[in-house]
Amino acid sequence: MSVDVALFVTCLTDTFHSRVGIAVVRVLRHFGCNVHFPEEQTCCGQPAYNNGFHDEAVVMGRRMVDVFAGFEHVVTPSGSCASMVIHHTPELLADDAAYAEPSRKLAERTWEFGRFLTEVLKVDLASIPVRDDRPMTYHYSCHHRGIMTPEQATGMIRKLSGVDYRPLDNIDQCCGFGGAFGVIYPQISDAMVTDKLDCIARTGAEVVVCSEAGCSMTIAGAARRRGLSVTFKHVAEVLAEALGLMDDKR
Amino acid sequence: MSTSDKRVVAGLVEPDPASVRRVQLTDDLVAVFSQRASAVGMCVSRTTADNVGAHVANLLDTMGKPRALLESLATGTGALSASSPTGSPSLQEEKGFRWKLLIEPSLFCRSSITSTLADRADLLDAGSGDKAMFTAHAGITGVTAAVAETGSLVCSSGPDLWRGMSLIPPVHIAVVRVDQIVPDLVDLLGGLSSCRLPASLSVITGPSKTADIEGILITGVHGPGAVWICVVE
Amino acid sequence: MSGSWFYRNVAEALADDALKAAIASTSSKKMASRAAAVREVENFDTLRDLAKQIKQHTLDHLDHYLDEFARNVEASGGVVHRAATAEQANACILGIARRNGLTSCVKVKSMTTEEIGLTAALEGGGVHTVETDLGEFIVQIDDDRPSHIVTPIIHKNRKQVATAMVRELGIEYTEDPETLTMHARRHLRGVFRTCDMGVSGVNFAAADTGTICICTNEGNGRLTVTRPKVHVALMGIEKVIPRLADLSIFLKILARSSTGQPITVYNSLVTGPRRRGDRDGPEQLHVVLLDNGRSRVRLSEYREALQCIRCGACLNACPVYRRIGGHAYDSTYPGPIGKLLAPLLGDSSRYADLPQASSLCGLCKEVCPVQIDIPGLLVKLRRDQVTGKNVPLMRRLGFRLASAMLTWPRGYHLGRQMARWLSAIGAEGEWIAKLPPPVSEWTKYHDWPRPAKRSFRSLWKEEQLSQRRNEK
Repeated sequence: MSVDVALFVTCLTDTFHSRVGIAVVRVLRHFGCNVHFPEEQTCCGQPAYNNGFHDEAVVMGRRMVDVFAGFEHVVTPSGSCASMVIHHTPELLADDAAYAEPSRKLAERTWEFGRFLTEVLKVDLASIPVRDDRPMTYHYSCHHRGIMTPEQATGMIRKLSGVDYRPLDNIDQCCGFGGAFGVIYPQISDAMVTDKLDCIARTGAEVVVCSEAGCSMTIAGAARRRGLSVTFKHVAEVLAEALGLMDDKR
Repeated sequence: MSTSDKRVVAGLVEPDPASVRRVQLTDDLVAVFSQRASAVGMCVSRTTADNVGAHVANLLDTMGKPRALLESLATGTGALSASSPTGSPSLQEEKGFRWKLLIEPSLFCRSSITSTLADRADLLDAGSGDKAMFTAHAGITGVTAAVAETGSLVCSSGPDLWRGMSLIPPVHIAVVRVDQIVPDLVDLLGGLSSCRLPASLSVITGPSKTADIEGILITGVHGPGAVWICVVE
Repeated sequence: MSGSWFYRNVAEALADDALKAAIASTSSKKMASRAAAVREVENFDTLRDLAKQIKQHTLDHLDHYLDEFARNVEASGGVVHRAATAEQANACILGIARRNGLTSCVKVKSMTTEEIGLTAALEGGGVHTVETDLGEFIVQIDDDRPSHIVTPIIHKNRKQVATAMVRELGIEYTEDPETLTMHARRHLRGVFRTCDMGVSGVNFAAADTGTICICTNEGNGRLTVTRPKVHVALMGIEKVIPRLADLSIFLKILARSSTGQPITVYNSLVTGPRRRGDRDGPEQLHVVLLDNGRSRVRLSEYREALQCIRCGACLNACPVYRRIGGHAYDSTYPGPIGKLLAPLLGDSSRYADLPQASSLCGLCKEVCPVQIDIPGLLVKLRRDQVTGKNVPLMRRLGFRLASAMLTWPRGYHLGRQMARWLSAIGAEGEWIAKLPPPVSEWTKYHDWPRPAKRSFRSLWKEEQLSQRRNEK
């Protein structure tokens, strides 16, 4: 029996990491999902919400509810966007007569990709042999708080068969992205990402698995500036490659 | 209580002590208390009611002089841990040294302690004022209770009691009867609510500590640098 | 916001390597200690939940519990004063000193007394006031300010402490922390023998018994509430809890969250002044209930901030605090909780940067023993800043425009396309390495990736086609 899934690709992934979106589709299909892509989707409103533009966030929230109405599962490759739809949009729409209940229903049906694989599709990660044999580490994004513990999140990679996994020090420390924060207070953000890169460099990893576009962009950009040569991959890409659904990204 | 008061209180959660406590009434309270008190840097030893005097005398002989005490005697530094007496200069090595002691007047074993120590300690009279309190080397007190969960001593103010005795001298010797040990903070504070509280109740869990300078742990800052607990069966 | 006092403080702090080293290592140690201490308590989350419920209930019925507390303090011989503002609190405490002819005051560390500037007010009124907590003592003799709500001199190293003590106490130079501490002890013992007034804060105040609880480690706390003939306890009104029995829950979570200790060395439960027959203790106990903006916060959607039990765990967790230290916030309360309390209890315009200077990482919320949703409240403060037009015009316009574009498919696609084109400026291959002014700050510190050549949507269409082909 096939599982019906609507992909909520997120504006950052759509724009910057389109390959991740494809990886998600292929992996979901591999595990028996019927994947839809509601083309009318745009932004969930998270940047507007985080920065206090709540009127705008309400409009975007209502649109999300409309675009994804009627789908049994909504899956997104971003923990932060999942959090937005699951926790914050229902709060914003709590007093909206028409949208309060539908937003709560959407929250119940929305899943972050990794959690969907392990909890709904019950994928046995240990049975998947990793294709990329380079040492790998995992950056735990702040927005996974409330979705997966560091143990569960790193497990997405750790449990793969044959992986050369290197644990990251200070895994609970933020990379410094924080959306507008990284642009308004770039010096503080830079101090944070510098420490993150120090930890990454210490692992000796050549691949950093990071399931959050904002974090990836920030850390990758800082790594490039510093001359640190590491490849960034989303969990979906690692899995898609391991399952032979995609060529290896180097 | 007025009706509206009752309504207010009715909205307050009633925590089930079973879900809050960490030590059960059926646990080995002496063992848990000893272990937890030692873990925070107090020295715990056990004795029987008829042996308290000799036991305290032995402690004074063998435990050596804690750093704070040495500092007040101006005989030099050298950190001494109250909980590991080996290696520290013992009383025998310091010729002519006499402990200056303050003992709680109503302490049940007071007379047995004073008679055993007559030859090597001076008993100061706390009632004579600050000089006694601030020159004493050790204060020997009883307790109101002890808490196994945290390894804590509970000392109260009361008739003929000085709060300063467990606070000002560099060494605090506490005599705890086994039946005074309660399992958990839940038992202590729940039990206290139903009595008339003393003006001061100190829950003491360890020698005085600070880590203000570079996070480095130092004991004996203002309060006692050594706390020796005698658990009496 | 660039150009603001906060921005300047941040730049100065980030350039201070000694500060960074001091705070980073202590914060990590405390986080590790906290984690170990929490692991020991199987029901820690149950306790946090109960603590939150008790605090929320108390805030709902604050007047009721404050009245009950006051009645019980008075029944045990204490005197209760109510101060609506910092000025009133200072005047009240100075008045107590004057009426009793008190001229020499010792203090226990209390952030509430920092909040109202009590020491300056007392000194100004002729009451010589000495801080007795080791860290606060050093702060006082060095004319400094505390930078953390629990460990006030986290920003100082031993050299700086030694220099201050040599200068003010005339001791021989030494950097040995133990020796320095013993010098402070000796000096302060003299003060404790002669002082006539003791001022403390209050960690918890039990309404049903009229008992105040003061949680300390060094012993100066106990000496301050024992030696002087008058004890004045200053408390924020949010410190009251309904029952003495509730204290067991708070004591189980406070020190573990704060320093990783199971419980602080001393928990002093004070119920009224000394009784007949007591051989020592203060003759008078005065409890000053301080409002100073708390009632206003209590009635707002920010009331959760008043649940705070001042453990400092959020400071130890915060990646921003770790890098800029406490002084940069220029507020009595720094760190994540300070980002809320400074604008809420103080001047929200002056502190406009604070709610913004967070990546909303959420670690503070995770470690808070009373489960305050700090990131959620920061977002609400940002929302208030937007509606109050307390956000730079360009940023407001930028966000409004971007949101409008991103909401609707046409605008979204156009926006994406424009981003791709514009990203060619300053590009090196698929990276944006150097942007021109006025946005040159963005690339000052690191590169940004360009939008991908092909969006997911265009790849999706191909994906669908190949899927259909494979099915045939």
